[in-house]
Amino acid sequence: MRSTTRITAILATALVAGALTACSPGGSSQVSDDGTGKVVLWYLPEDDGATFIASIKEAFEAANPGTILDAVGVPEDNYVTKVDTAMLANQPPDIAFMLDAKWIKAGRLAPVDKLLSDAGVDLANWNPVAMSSCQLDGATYCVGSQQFTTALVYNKDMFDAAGLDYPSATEPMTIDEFAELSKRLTQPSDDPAARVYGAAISGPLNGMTSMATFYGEDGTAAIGNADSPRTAHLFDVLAGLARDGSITQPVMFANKSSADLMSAGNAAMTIEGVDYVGFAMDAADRRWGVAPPPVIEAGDTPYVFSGTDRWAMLTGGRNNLGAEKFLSWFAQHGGEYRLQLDQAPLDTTQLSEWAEGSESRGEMVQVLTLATHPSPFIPNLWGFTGKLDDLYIQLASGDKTDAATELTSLAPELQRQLDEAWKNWEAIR
Amino acid sequence: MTLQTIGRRRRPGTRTIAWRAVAYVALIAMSATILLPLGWMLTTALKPDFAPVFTPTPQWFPTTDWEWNNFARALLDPARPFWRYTLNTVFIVTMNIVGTVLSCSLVGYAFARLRFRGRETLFAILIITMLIPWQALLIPQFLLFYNLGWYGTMLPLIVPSFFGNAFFIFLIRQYIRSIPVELELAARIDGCNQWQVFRHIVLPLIRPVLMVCAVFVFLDSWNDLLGPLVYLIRDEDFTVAIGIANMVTSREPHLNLLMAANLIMMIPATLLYFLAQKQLVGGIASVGLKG
Amino acid sequence: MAVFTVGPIIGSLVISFTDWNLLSEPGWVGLDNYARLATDPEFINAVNVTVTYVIFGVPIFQVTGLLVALLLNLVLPGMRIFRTIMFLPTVLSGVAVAVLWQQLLSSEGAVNQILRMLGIANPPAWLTSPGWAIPAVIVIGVWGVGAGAIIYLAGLQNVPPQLYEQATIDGAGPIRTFFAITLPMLTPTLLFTVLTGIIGAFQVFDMAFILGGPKGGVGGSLSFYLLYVWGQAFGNGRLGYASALSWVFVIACAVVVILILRTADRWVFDESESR
Repeated sequence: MRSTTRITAILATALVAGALTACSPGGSSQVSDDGTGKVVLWYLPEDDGATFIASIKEAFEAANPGTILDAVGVPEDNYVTKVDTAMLANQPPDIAFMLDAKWIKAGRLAPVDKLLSDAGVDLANWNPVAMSSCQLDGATYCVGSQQFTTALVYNKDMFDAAGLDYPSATEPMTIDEFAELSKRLTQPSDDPAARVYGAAISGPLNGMTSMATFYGEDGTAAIGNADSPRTAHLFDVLAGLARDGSITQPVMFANKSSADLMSAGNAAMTIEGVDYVGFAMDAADRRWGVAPPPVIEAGDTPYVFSGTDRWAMLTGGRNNLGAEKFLSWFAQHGGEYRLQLDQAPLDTTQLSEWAEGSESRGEMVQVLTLATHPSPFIPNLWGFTGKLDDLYIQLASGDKTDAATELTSLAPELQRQLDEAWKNWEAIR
Repeated sequence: MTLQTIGRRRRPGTRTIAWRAVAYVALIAMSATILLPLGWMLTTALKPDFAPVFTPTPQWFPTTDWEWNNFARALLDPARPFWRYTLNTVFIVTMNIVGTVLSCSLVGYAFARLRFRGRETLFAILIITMLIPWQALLIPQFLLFYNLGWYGTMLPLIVPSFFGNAFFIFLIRQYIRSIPVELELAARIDGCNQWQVFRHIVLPLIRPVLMVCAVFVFLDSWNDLLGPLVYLIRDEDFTVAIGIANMVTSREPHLNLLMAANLIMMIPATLLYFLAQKQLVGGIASVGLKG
Repeated sequence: MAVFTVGPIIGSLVISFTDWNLLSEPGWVGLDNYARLATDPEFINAVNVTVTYVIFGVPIFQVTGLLVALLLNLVLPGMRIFRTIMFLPTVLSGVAVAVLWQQLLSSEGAVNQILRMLGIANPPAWLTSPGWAIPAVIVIGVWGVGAGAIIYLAGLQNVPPQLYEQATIDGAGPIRTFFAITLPMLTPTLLFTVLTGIIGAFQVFDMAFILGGPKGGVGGSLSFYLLYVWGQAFGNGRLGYASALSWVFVIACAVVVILILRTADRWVFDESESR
């Protein structure tokens, strides 16, 4: 009783497998020995992904006659299930967006370090925090092209009007300084349309701080971190601001509303994806600036989240040579096509070109140099860390009041689930 | 038909003006609670990109933004060939309706009228199969279809409907059981066999419930996302639901396009329902049953 | 049916005795997955959430569905339009409905603005307030009650008109007519809608998934049972445990369903048997 095939066999015999003649599955792709033919790529159509993929497809096919990039968009909510089942059916795509590190652990993705060095890519030019999500035990498993940065974005006109200095792009403020700023920027009003929040903040988890704050540097200890006085202080300050209306209630509007609030002039600061808020601010003709998110105590290492798109080669794909050819081409040229779409490229040597002519973008590039220290990897993180968000929501609404007590009683449960997540992770072979 | 449909109503005397007024007030109130949110959807669908969707006061009707172009963008995006998706979806939906109505009406009739050993036990088992969550069956079913060589084809989305569906069998059985049995007995006395009774007596009588089945099967398979997504692997086989799901992303949700696409998605099902109503309301009265 | 259901059913039972995570070879663990249940606080929470929803949701949906059907069964000019309008929410895909209601039920949303106008100073935060999340999902369910109503509507077509004529001759008013004729004649439909309503309420998934996210809302308040099963199977990669959870679910629901079917003979009017 030790194998997938056993289980399938039990099923198959219990049924009618033989009764119906199998017809050949639709996705047969020609296997070639020179990498020509079809290269199947699955992508998330996120962030105008479809537009980007279309331009990539055209350029790659022109550069590699005989190779066809068959790009298929797969909805995000069910993406992992789709890839998992395709692996079960031994028909994974050749290239896929890497959404779940368990595929690395299970050996389903091919390492790309050699491919990258052969292609002449210097990993030093790719942001280390962004690339950390592609790496496990020192090896790299995926290739990126775009730079996503999460940082503090603020409305410069509102700072001017309040007679406040712009936040520094190089030196993070503390959470207490942030609280002071929020209070001074707030303009209460009974009319929701005229109200101005000091900041639109969804909670302490979303880009605010590294997961090390809650789970330690190696991501294994909730007890001693999630219940530390530092963490309690972060919760207390933010929840206090939310309670007195200086920052938004965490769930006031549905997700992604911070960009809406910023562009409508209802919020002076936010901690969000810079590109996303920036686009909205530009569209609304508002002047914006970028700064690192606040730190809990003076002297802390600032935490700036940096991410990228993650393209991996699957070991069970039909056209491995074609996949290698594509990834190698993509590693060299992906950034150019990001630039063409006016999206920030991952390669730092290309970033200045993107930022040219925009003070705000320049500030983002400056802030990005602080993104050197990745958040620790934690398996199935979003399966349990939402409990911290839940606690924050209850503190912010006033249902609960004392962060330290609540965190102390929550920590053992977090620890239990964290241990379990690591155990499940280790069971992946 | 008209005389009978009107004639079957309750005592005409109760249908006073006041009665009607009350009914209309209730109907209009209900309609408003349904239409206002849909108005919000339309407002959102007509907004330009990056315009705030979540406004402090909800906008129930479009007043400032009129980006009708969004409907065209949602529908004609070259990355999402919606016409192709629509054809695929219509094919799958049609096969499902045909399969379900055929198989479930037969089985439902058998459970309602035929007497055979173990009928009640078999029926209880049928009900129990409805309890098993698809979440638990997804992977075993996937392995089955994969081993049949059906991965990457539309067969897993179509063939099962021809083997019945517990929900609809149950629905049809209950409906048949509430029909007076005399007509069928009379037909048997006149020399009809079981099949002829089913074909000429029962089938016309259960038209309303078959329409209900068709409408529900339509909705289920029209909106089904996971099934097509797990089994289909080529973009040209994809369905409308996948196309729409591809518009929702956590990073940059184009809510305006999403709402536009959803409003368009509603049209076929709404039309079908509007047209089906004639069949739906009729039933016994429309076949002129005399007690 | 047997072909495509029974096989996979046996398959899922087999999987429930393993530690399969989809990616690695499964190992046989016997009854471990079932033993785990007793010590899993999230499992207990999921049971609580689901049972609460079933107990309060099912009667509310049944009564409103029937009332709406009775209203829609009236013969009035323009009824076809009203019937179509009531049906609209059913036609909308789950994502659109969820996004819509997230906006309407947010703490500053339309529903609360109306409540404030009605003099309720501190309306709940609905979906994000643990005690109010289930009522919120019930509200959304009532909004979409048109689907259940059309089953009742079809059932109402089956009531022989001469029975109404007889009642009229006997001088029965509309309320007596309803209880003496409509309701008894509707009991086969009622059995169907009650049973499938209960099963549907136990199996709530899509709406909870979109409204509360895979983690099941604030404080697990939207952690419906099957959402938890899904999270364990595909989020946490524990297909074996998820299958065990499913089997416990099936057995518990089966007990409820069998109890109802047992009582059905007593209250369901059956043409086949009675004449």
